[in-house]
Amino acid sequence: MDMALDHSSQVTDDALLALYAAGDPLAASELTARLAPRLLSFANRMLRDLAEAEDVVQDTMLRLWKMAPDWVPGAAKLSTWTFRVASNLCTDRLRKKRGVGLDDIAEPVSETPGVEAQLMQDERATALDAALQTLPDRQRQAVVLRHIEGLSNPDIAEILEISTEAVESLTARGKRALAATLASRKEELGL
Amino acid sequence: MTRPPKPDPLDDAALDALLKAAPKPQPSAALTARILRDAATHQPQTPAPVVPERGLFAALADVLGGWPTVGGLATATLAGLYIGFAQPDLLSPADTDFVFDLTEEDALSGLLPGDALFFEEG
Repeated sequence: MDMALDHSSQVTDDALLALYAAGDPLAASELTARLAPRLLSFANRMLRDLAEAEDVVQDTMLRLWKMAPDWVPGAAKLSTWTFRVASNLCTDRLRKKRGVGLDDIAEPVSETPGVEAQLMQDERATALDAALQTLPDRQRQAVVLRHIEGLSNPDIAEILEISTEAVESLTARGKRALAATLASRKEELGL
Repeated sequence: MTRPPKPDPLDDAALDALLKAAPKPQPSAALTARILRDAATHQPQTPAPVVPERGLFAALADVLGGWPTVGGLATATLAGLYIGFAQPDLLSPADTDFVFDLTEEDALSGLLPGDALFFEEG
């Protein structure tokens, strides 16, 4: 089994999960390295709270470990399944937070130190995050999954449990709204 | 009083670039450790492989040199039994008496001079 992980890039997510279910000690680490970064990026964008996003990622992965013995290879894409779980967990948390005003939500923590040259980039990232928060949840999920995480429309349709056409409509409306929101800050952000 | 005109929306290329450049946080070591701890806790335990007990015949086969040897012995035994029961008259008493009564002198007396040369040359 260790031999298979020597060429881990060639091992599918399905195969890794099967190895995990069979007791392989390295499979969980490889799956975490593959799935956790994108899940964290997505959850952080949805919740604007890194600590909460981390909890969502941990919870998503926990559900993955628990259902590993029952996973049917090829029935669905593992990454899509994890995004769907994370998406639902984010939606649940957002519903609970509805009473909290946007101003009360902490600004996202910048992942890079405050280097002078990156000030503008940080400003842009903050402006984008603020603009994303003005979108309805479903539009925001669709835009983030499509244009930041780079998922395909059919995958997003599976995650959000809607049709591909509905995804296209959500992302188009979301982008139009973002463009309008950011219009007033174009010069300030050097766009 | 006239309202200031609405600014033009951000163009598509600029928005795409902005979305593409959005920073993505990496999982911290602490988060990875939390995830892997959960993974270890919930990993299905594989049962230890069951080693079958070795029976008397298997042990005997090992002593004799393995199953191929035992197979050879069994075949030879069956062949001997078959020959003994099916064709007991294959060797008549006259044939066997000739073998057992043969003396060294009898055996050598039939040799011709040319036979000695044959033995030397092999």
